[in-house]
Amino acid sequence: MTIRRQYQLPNCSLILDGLSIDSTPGDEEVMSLLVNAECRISGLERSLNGNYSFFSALVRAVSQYSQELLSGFAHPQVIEDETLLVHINPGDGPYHHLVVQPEIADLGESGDGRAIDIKLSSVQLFDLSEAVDQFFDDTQTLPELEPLLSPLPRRFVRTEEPLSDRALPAVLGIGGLVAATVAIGLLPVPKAPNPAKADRPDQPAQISDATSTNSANDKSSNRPPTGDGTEPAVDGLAAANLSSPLWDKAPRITDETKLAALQQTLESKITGSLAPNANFTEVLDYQVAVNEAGELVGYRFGNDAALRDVDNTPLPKLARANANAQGLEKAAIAQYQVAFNADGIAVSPWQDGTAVAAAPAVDSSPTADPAKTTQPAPANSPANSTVAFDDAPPTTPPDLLEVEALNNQLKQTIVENRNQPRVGSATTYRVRFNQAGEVVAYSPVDSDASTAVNETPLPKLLTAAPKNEPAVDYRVVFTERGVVEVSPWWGWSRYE
Amino acid sequence: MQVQSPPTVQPSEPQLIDQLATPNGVASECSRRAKTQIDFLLLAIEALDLGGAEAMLAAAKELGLENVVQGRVNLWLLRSSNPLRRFSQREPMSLSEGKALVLITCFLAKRLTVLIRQLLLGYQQLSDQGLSFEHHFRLSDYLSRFRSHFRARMNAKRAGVIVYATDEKLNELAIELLTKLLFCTGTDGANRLWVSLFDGEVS
Repeated sequence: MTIRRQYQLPNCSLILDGLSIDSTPGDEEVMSLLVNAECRISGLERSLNGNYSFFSALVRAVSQYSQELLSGFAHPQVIEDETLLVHINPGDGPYHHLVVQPEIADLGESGDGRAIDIKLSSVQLFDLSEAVDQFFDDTQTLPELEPLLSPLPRRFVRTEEPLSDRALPAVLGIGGLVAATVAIGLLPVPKAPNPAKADRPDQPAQISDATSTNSANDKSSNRPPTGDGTEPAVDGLAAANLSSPLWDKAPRITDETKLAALQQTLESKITGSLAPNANFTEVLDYQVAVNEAGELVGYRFGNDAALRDVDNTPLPKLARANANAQGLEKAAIAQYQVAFNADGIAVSPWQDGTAVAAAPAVDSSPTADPAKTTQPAPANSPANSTVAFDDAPPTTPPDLLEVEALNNQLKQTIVENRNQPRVGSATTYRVRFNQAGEVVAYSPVDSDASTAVNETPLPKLLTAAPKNEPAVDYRVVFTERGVVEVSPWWGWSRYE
Repeated sequence: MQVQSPPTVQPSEPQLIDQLATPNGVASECSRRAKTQIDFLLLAIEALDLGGAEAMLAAAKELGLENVVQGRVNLWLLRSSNPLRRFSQREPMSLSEGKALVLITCFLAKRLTVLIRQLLLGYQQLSDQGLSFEHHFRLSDYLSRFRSHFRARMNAKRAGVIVYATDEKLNELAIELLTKLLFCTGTDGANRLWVSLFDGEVS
């Protein structure tokens, strides 16, 4: 039996068409199946039509937003883990915005794929809310939909102190931090003792040579940033293979069987020459290059601990044979990531943390730009051209406000473009975002992230843009619970 | 207004108050914010209706809430539990007293529905045209009355009151309260208002 129910208010009416599927006496009048829900709002040319999912999302959003108006605290308008189909946002002055996703509401031919945004005045909104309450009050229509009024849990509510009171401690704290940063910046950089020089007197020429190349070729060196832009004290030997042309120019071995064989050789070499009492409390991360003969020709540091504790690893010893060799960049190399940790060592193919997929750049002369290290794309990465993330912090940082605005914009873009919040292990990406609000490059930070890249909206968002356009790098984390976190790659403090 | 038949009121009294269910996990008395919120809404009603204070007592009788709101002095004491008041009593407000005041607020708001809607429509038109409130006689009347009630009764030294130091801020508050009163006029208004008073109070 078809049933029609109407809830009419001066500015809004809800018309429900449905069926009763229960034939027990007394229940024939209960609408238990909704065929179509129509919501007419005065001043709106067409009415909103939709099915059950539209209607249940609508009544929930309206009911929750009414509570928000009464208490002043934002209420979640969707049950956790569900897509947000209907949402009401506060607007300016007496207005509110009812936003309906296009997939659930039928607007006729005017639907252009964008969310429908209806501006409602407070009185219109109240009429809508009242129509919904009258529906809730009517036990004969879709009795399973209930208002579920409950107070907002504490965790959703921010403190009631006025903003000025809340901001004061933060301002004092940030001010103190800034003062401390300035004070520390004024101190001279301590000179680190140079054990390499004392230990290995046979290599002085190489050291000085390398250090000078190093400072000249500053940007391509893989070096942890220092807060105030000064050069960190680099261990003499450590610098030896850092900036040689090896990394930039040497051809890469691409044969996969050879790569696998070399990986095994490297692993056994390192394990074999590891000091028996070696104990790594922190993870030491290296990028290691091996030539076709399986000899270790160079290595770079992946983190600060790797630089500090390099003498505890067998890498300097293994690389010594090639430390003075010239013309290394002419032979093909294979790159591996070697991590020393408390459990032992882990050797894995280098995931090209610096070379990433990028849209074909308008300026397609990657090698002409000395600031960028270009590396061949690994076999499993998208085969289009690559752009490089250098590891030097930006020399002329854009101002904080802009970085902040772009930060929010990037987050917004990602959230709007993802299909479903991604649940699973956290994945991190480095994303370059330009001032026009386009993602111009991204790079997975680890192997987990590179396998999960297609579950993120990043490939879709990638846009071609001139390479030299100002852009800011961000760290984008998709957390275990599906939350997107965005922060500047070099930290907020760089932009203050 | 005199009540015609007090005896019949007795049985209905517990029922009316019981319609408002106490949410799970709330304290046994109304929070600071609830006390402030209720008093502000009643203040807005007074600004809408000159005889508002009398109407509250009459409403209490009509709704059969005399046991909870016992006359003028008790009503004044209850409203003075608002911590922002100049002569705040710092008295606790029990849940049933809170419920009674919520019912009175919604009862009076329903009576004033037409006026509330007119004023909100007027505010909407003024803000569409970018005009000041003076162009709407009833609205500016309500706002100025609200401002003077507010300034006369609230303790200007409290941080919660200092934020409303300017006319503009007080006008904003008055409009916000008017919108809240509109939502109190609905079918489920009393329940909605009552539940909203505990937002952020449960874990």
